[in-house]
Amino acid sequence: MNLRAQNEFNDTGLANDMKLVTEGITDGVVLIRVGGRLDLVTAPELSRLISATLERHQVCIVLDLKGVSFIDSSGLRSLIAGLKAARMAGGDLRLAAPTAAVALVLKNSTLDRILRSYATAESAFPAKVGKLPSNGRGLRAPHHSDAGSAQQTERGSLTWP
Amino acid sequence: MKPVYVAASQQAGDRSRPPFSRLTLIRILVTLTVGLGINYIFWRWMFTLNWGQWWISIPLVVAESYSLIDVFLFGMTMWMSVIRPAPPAAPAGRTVDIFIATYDEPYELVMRTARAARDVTYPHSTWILDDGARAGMAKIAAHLGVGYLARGSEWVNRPRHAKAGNINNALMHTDGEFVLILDADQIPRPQILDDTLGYFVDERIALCQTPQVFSNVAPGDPLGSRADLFYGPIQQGKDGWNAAYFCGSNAILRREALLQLGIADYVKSVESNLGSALVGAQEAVKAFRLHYKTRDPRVAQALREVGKALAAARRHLAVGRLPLAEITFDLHHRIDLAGQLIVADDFAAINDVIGQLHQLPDDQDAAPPNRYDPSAYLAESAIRVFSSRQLSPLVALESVHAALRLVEIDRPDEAQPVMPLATISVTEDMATSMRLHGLGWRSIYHNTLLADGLAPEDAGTMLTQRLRWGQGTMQVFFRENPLSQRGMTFAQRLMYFATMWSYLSGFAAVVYFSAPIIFLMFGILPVAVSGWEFCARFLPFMVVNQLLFLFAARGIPTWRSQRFSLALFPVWIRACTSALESVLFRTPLNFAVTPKTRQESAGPQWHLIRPQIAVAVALVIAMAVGLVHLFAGGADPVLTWLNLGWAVYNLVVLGVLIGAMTFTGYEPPSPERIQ
Repeated sequence: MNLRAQNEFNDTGLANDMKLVTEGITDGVVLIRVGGRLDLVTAPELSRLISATLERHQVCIVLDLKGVSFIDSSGLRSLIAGLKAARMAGGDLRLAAPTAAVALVLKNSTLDRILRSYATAESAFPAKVGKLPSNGRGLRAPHHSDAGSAQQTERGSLTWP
Repeated sequence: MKPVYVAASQQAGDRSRPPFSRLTLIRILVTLTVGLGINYIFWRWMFTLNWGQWWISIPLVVAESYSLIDVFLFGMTMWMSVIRPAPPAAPAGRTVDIFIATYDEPYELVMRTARAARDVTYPHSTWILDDGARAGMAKIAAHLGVGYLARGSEWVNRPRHAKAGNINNALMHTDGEFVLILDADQIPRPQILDDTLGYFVDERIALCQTPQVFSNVAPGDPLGSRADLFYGPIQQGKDGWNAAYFCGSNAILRREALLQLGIADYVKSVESNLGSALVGAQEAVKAFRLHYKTRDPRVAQALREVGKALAAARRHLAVGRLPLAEITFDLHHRIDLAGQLIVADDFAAINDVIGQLHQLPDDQDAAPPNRYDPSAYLAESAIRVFSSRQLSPLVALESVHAALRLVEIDRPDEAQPVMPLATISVTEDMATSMRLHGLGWRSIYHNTLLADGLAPEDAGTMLTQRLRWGQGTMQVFFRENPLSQRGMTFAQRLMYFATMWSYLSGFAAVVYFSAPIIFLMFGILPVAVSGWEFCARFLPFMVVNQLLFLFAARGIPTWRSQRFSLALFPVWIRACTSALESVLFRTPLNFAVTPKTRQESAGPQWHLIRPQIAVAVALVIAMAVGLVHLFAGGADPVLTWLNLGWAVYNLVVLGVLIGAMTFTGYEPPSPERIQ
């Protein structure tokens, strides 16, 4: 399958223009800035970054979609996969600042029934929810990472679906 | 969309009209047919019912009304039956996967198709989708240099969804921008992609269906395999209303459109699974609470909090304003808070709990049957935790967490969460394209032969195939009735409805066969009217109707298929009743894979058409009795001759089955004859 050729066709010669930048905003919450196209070609990269982040036990992730110019259903699937992985790790994955184009795709695919988009990255994890009760977290984490890995082997990989 | 696409899409959307005179003539005939038809049926309902014999009078007028609606829908289809101009040239550099779906077809057959698919000129990848997971087939694929895909372990103990599941599985393992779907017996021609990909330059196009024509049909088409009226004027007419639909094979689909369907379907199912999981969780928590009410008030209090949180989550889900991820996140948070009430500072208990927690996942995996029903699963896991008293209430809460987690994002009842092709019917094709149209995608019918198929070669196989088509279509009718589907235009809904409506013809046929028998045998007339008056109202309608058929068919012979559609009435009736049964009782239909090779058998299998033989015998006896009445008993000559004519027509219709039952298979013409 010639992915490179397809991408060039879609996007005037820029083979892979997705940009990913990771930074921490508050304690426990990681911000990933996504830029460019989130599609068949680039989505796996985002999935890899999310699972690497979760493996470092940073389980609360905000995806800042301000710079995303285009998203297709592969991109949407990487968002669901990320949400699932984050929940399995005992955290959460939230979307922030989608462009009008991305918001439209979320709406048309009805995925906005599952995922909420927050206006800004800072508002995605309000302090009261972002700081989870340490007891509950401490108890649940080991169990869910077990369940998560069981699910992953069953489904093949984190790049769900 | 880039400017160049807009220009191209306008070009693709523009249709060249057929010769002005013919479309105009067809529209005049449609108008006349509708006018005369309404005139006839109105008169029938108002002035001709024989109330004394209502038991035959009413069924007959209902059957006639049914047929009239069928004719009206046909007229509406023909109103827009236009010929598309050639599409723009195929754009270079798009990626395509060719899927060959097979289950148990012989290797040679699949090999022939796979080789032809591999040799399609436009650059692509070819895949054999082997639902039979045969080692030999994998070897053949490797030998031919094409890809091989079989279902993975995730499909074990989960619904397989037949061909739709096979293709959905393949969609998750490939990534071409377009997919050409082929049945194992449809041999593609090399130009199939070059000739059709051009349509997809218009980014609103999701589907391009090409004809399914059979190269092994014997002269005279004894099994009625040819569907030239359907793969021609009818699909073109549907295309005119942007409702040309997917017929399972020889079609090119846009992956993005299919995945969009899959995601929408996923969201819907997560929503409904979560709904039933919350119900199950509430029941489970209630059981815990009763258990702890007297034993430990602190625990009972915590469980009350959990119950409240579950109720709130159900409320939010029903209202539908909050996204699911938020509802479940808050729910987990509130369950954690409630858990803190219990834990307090009891560190010994915590250590105990951590030990016990590790037992849970194994327990869950040990009960696979319940993963299909989240609420039953929850109730059962609750009972299990409840019955082992030594477990801490924290573990009980944890089991609620775990069970919710199973359904809140994932879809444990299916092998893969995203199911692009609809799985509500054994004819996944029609259901899928209806959903695509509902999402606003457009379809194309490309009326040029681009694959050579193999038709069934014996009557038994033919009957199985027709039954499956009927069952699948009626499943869609009962599950996702097009008339109630939002997103489609009214015309699109009617175009889908037209196909489904035609499968109800079996019931009307019973009436049409019985009415002349009843008159000739017993002199009971369902119509209270003189023969001449009846002819005056009925014949003009019938003449225009037949003219419409003649011109709409553009010279395609249709007499044989008209006879088949009446003569196969028991098949259509069974299709309707079994589909209704499967929808009402949620039982799967036995998916009958149409055998692609001739079924060897000793002589004609007359038992397959017992009802039709009985009807034919009854018709002959009735005609004899009718003649006796006419010459000896002074029966009305006009009415008797009309009914005798009707009975003869019925016999001629049924006669089409004689050729089908005695057909012994297709003998290819010798090379000399071809030349």
